[in-house]
Amino acid sequence: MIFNSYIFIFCFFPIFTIGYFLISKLNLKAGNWFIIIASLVLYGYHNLLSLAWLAGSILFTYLFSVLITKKPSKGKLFLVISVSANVLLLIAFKIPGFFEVKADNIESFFMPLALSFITFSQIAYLVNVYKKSIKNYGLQEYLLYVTYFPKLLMGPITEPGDLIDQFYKKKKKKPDIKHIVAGLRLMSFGLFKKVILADTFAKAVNWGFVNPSVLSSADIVLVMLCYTFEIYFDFSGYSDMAIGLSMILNINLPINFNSPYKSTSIQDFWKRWHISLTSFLTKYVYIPLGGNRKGTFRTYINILIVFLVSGFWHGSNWTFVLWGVLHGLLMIYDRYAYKFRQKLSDLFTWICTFISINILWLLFRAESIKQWWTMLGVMIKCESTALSQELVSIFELSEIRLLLNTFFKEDLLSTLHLLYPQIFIIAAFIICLVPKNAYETKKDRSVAGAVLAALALVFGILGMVGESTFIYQNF
Amino acid sequence: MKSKKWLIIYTSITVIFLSVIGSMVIYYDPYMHFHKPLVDKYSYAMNDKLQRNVNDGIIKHFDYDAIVTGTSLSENFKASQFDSLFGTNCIKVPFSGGTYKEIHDRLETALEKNQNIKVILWSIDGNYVFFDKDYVLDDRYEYPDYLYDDNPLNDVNYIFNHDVVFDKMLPTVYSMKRNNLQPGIINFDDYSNWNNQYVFGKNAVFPFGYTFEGYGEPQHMTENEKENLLESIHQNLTSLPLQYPDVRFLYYIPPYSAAWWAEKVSSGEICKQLEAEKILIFELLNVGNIELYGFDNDFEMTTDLNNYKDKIHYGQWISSDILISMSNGEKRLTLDNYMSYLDSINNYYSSFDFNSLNNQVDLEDDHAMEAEAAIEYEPVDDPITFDEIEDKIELNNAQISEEKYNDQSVITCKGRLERISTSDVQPDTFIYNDSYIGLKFKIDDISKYNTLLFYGRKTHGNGQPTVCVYDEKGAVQALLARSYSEIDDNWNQYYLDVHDVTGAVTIILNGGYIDSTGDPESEFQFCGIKLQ
Repeated sequence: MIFNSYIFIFCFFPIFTIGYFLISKLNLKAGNWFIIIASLVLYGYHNLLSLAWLAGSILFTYLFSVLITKKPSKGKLFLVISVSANVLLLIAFKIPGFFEVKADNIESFFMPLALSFITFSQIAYLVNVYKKSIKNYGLQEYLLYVTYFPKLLMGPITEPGDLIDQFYKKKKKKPDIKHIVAGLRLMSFGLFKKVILADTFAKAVNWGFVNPSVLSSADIVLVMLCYTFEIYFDFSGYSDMAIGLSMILNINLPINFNSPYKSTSIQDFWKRWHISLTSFLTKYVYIPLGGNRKGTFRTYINILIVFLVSGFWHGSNWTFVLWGVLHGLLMIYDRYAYKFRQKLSDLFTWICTFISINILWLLFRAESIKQWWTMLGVMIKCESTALSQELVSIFELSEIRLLLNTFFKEDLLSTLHLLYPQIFIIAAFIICLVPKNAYETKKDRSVAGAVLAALALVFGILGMVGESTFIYQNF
Repeated sequence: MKSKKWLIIYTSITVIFLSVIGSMVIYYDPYMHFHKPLVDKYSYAMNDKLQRNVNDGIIKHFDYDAIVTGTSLSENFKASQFDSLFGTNCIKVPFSGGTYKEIHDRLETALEKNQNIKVILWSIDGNYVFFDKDYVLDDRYEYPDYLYDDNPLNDVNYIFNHDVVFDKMLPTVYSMKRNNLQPGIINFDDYSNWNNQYVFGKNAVFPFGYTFEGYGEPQHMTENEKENLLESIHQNLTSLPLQYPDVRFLYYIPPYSAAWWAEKVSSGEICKQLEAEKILIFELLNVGNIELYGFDNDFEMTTDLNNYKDKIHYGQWISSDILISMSNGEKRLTLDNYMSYLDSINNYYSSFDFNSLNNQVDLEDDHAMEAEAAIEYEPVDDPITFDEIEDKIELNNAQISEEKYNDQSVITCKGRLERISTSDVQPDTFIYNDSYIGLKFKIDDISKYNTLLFYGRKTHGNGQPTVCVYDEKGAVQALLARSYSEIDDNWNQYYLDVHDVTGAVTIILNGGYIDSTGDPESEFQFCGIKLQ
């Protein structure tokens, strides 16, 4: 069950929230079991096979975490076995995709939902247990950490200690109107981002990748920009919803996005994009490899390894691996040319960064490296600069057409029709670059904020038909 | 306190907006899911893309005693013709690509909801015989399951649906005048009718030419396929007739073109296909209230690709032909004749020269076939010809030539109209408001006529026919427009359907080019103008 579905918004979440606070009032632990059961229901709603895999994986990992605690002398062995098993399982599920790139073939392989997120959470838990940086938690605590539904499917990837302890604080078991308001606000804007913005951009992107041979240079630029905004609104929309829903339950999840398209370097970008993944890779891959403590060359190699892992984590296609490697190389360049970059204007570095991110997102979305290369070639040649009518018409949302149709003359409509993509792109730029992000403004209590949040929710609800999935849900 | 106020505002706005939107959807009900359409107040969209959305509402809420259904091959049936032939008051609910299972399920609902059903017409497509008994082509559609089940809770998908609210409801309800929409629904003759949207003939069926690939190794049905077909027939095709013995089930196997059979012959699957049809026909004929008709042995029809837009889809005139044959009991299959029916298909196509299809003449005007059917099947008592009303006709930039065609007067139209090609004024509006190149006449009451027929040909430049029927307010009620690039200097018969048009009308037959960029010497000739 996904957040942008009627059953979740109208049924699951309200019933769960009321039930959770009522049960927790009677018994704190019972409230926590209620969360676990609800999380498993949500996870297994569409896919019982995934649920069976999750149960097996959780029990296996928990068993080893107990062994690590009980037999510290063999702790390292148990850690290596359990982490390797998790990683190998992740690789095993992903490998077929490298050799069968067609989407319909990929679908024929079983891939547990949120495999990558769950694997990373479990690895984080095992490492923390081994390092004794968390308490000796029981099964309930462990289940809460792995299955907690707001972050189960797509993160944010949390540190076990930060999350688990919150479930056992009595003061967090009572509804708090301030948290409810902040949570609803984040959730509403998150839903709007996903349903109205990301899904509209997604239609344009999908059209582009269904008809790659007919795309003009201008079409490819538009499709590329659309994907850049789609993936941001999709994933950050989800993250806002996850953080908002969790906030209503008085459980804080870490911020995952901090206006990433304001970045003026790739280094800066990775501090703002999918922050929890960057933190995880830094803590569990980069630092164990030696981080920046073993000289410049090793630092660069470590950076490259981290981004190779990140690329592989994102998907079963060589495009993701190359995407990771190229991001790694740009990170290395950023470090290498740090002093030189300081002399450049912010606007220039922002433009360079944004273009790089766009080109690499195009690779991320492409079905093959060859397709990406071909599209880049067509784009650079600039032979045809007209936008395809079909692509333009995707941006003609029915509510905008209705609004204009009611207030303006028909000839204005036909002129405006050609400008819809530009209007959408400019609006997306403004949303990404101008205001503070929703997390930063969570304490806003203005009347205008309430009206906007309510309208965002209403539009979000109306746009939910079809229940489009989130991009990161497949990772 | 600030938080409380925020929460009250947020909740109130959300609840008010959702309540208002939900109530409006339930009241107007664009998919007719909750109630009959409010035809006196609002316009309702019904077209081939909305079949899965509106057909269920039509089935559940309309008053009718007969159903015309089937795949895209049933879309061109005219409900009015069906009613006049079978004495019914029918609804047409086609399901493009609808499998046996899907249509069975919809008919089951219809028969449960409506006790008055007397006749059901269903096109039983021969190319669906090997589908799994439960197969539904849901990959082609985002199937609105929530409209079909009895769960009121999932109607939320309909009530709070972006497309329904902003695309179907609000523009229709609030912009009816602006969008020139009249209250009501489209009639069942025109609902999902695609006849005028396609070209027919050899070039449409074989755009890249055709070469027969030879005779394939004969294929036969496996035991599993036989078992599945029997299960499918019993589950989807005979269960309802057995359950409702008083209802007359008119089934027919739509005639596929020789081009389709060519594929079966070259792949060796013709034996397999006919084996399946043998099982199908036998099982259906064993149910008393099923009347089964087969047209695949009408070789004159199936080998003339001018009847087809592709290998299986035939024009409206064939649909009309089928209805007439069925009403007369012609082409009916019985236990006595069905084996010879199947044998005749096998024998005919086993020796047919499929390469000859490639040499067929592709009739220039597809609607010539339709015109012939109209002449044959839609006669009226008192047709009007050009010669009879010549004195009432106004000519503009046109003259009656000395030459004759089929002993009838020829009107030559010459010139172009100075309409700017980028203008928003459409050609039909332009010739009504400004001038025309051709002829104009008025008819006091067009209700008694069904078709406007005429011959025409391009004789120079960009000459092309644009024929409009306008009501008293100048609104276009029927339109025929052909591009100069599609026609040549041979006489062709054209046909304009006017059976829906009523009252006093003005008819303009324009032969000039309606664009300032065209050849100023453009010429087109009309002849044999007839209203019948």
